[in-house]
Amino acid sequence: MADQLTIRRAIHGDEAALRALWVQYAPRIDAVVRRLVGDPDQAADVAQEVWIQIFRALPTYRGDSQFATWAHRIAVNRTLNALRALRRIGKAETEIEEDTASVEHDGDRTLLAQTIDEAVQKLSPGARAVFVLHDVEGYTHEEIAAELGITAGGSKSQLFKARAKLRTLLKHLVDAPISQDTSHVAHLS
Amino acid sequence: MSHISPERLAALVDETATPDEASHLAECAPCADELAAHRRLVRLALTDTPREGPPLNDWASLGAMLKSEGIIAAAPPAPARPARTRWLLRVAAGVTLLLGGTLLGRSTSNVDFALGGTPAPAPSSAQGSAAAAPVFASPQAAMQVLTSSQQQYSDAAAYLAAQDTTSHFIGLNINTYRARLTALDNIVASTRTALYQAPQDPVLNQYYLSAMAAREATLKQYQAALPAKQALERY
Repeated sequence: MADQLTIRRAIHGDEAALRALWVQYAPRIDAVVRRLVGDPDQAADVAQEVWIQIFRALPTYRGDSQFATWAHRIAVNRTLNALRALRRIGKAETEIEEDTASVEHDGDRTLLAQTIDEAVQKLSPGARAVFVLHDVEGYTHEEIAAELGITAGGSKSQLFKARAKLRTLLKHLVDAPISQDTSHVAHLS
Repeated sequence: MSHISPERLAALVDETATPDEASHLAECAPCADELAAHRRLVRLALTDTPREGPPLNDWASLGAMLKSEGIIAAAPPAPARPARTRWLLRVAAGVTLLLGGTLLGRSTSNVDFALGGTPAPAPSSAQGSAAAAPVFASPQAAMQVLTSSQQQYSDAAAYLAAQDTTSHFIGLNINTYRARLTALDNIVASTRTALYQAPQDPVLNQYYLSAMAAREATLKQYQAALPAKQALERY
């Protein structure tokens, strides 16, 4: 309820209220931007655009959903627009062809990622966007294709390559507790 | 059949295996294990939330952008005569309370509020007997009513400002609006300052929002009362 009052003050352009919303929700919203964009400097620029867009759209917020959910949707859409503007997605579609699912294996644990966030940052921009949108955000391939300006088949192809790479990067998290045949993993990678 | 490729195994999380693939998976434990690992990966992604960290920007830069975009409202002008501030505040608070109370009372008493309209039907006996203080189920319920009433007040104030048929009857003129705007600006400024200290305080929020709504409505009335061709630039 306090949020509603803050939101109404923010709609009137009250800086304290706008700042209060930003302080409360920026850690979550910016994390989504960071995950989708990858590069920290570009993520900061995109996050700024995202927050301007959120505050600009504030008068349209009807309170039907949680503010965080509403802002999250804007953040994802605005980030995709920004990525398109950066021409990273289209370029990434060709990059992914060279960015195979293989991960170098030299026994060094630093090649493994400790979290999904960390692993996702090791993907190419296009594969990262497709994986996050499909497997995390729940977009369909058709929606992803429309958002990123690629085909649904291209979206699927990138997703499967991304999963294969992540499966290797996160093997310590997704392997069965008792591995039956570890040599097979090496073969598949 | 040779082992199924990693990308095909990743696809089989969503897609149906061909008969050949199905029979291979039934016989090849390593491939079946790999498919299970891919399924665990997708479940992990689905339940994973991004790790929250510090904001990517600081408020100084974002605030500056919001100001340049006009999203942060310009601060109201400082009072010209500080010595009169306290007196003006008292009068303005009275005006706000009077307007708010009148509007809320009318909007909740089922009386037709349209000027020149036909009278609304008399309240039912249930409504007529509801003179006792309302009982709320919880502080949240009371706050909800407060917020909803505030919205009604804002809507009614905006409607009245658009109609502006009351000025003739109670002798309002440009000077009245100007004085009211100055007072309301002072209320907005002082409650806004207080909200920096206590952003969640419901009383401060209500005063602030009421003053903002009354200010917007008064601005419209003031603009309408100006002589033709004279644009509102300052008051």
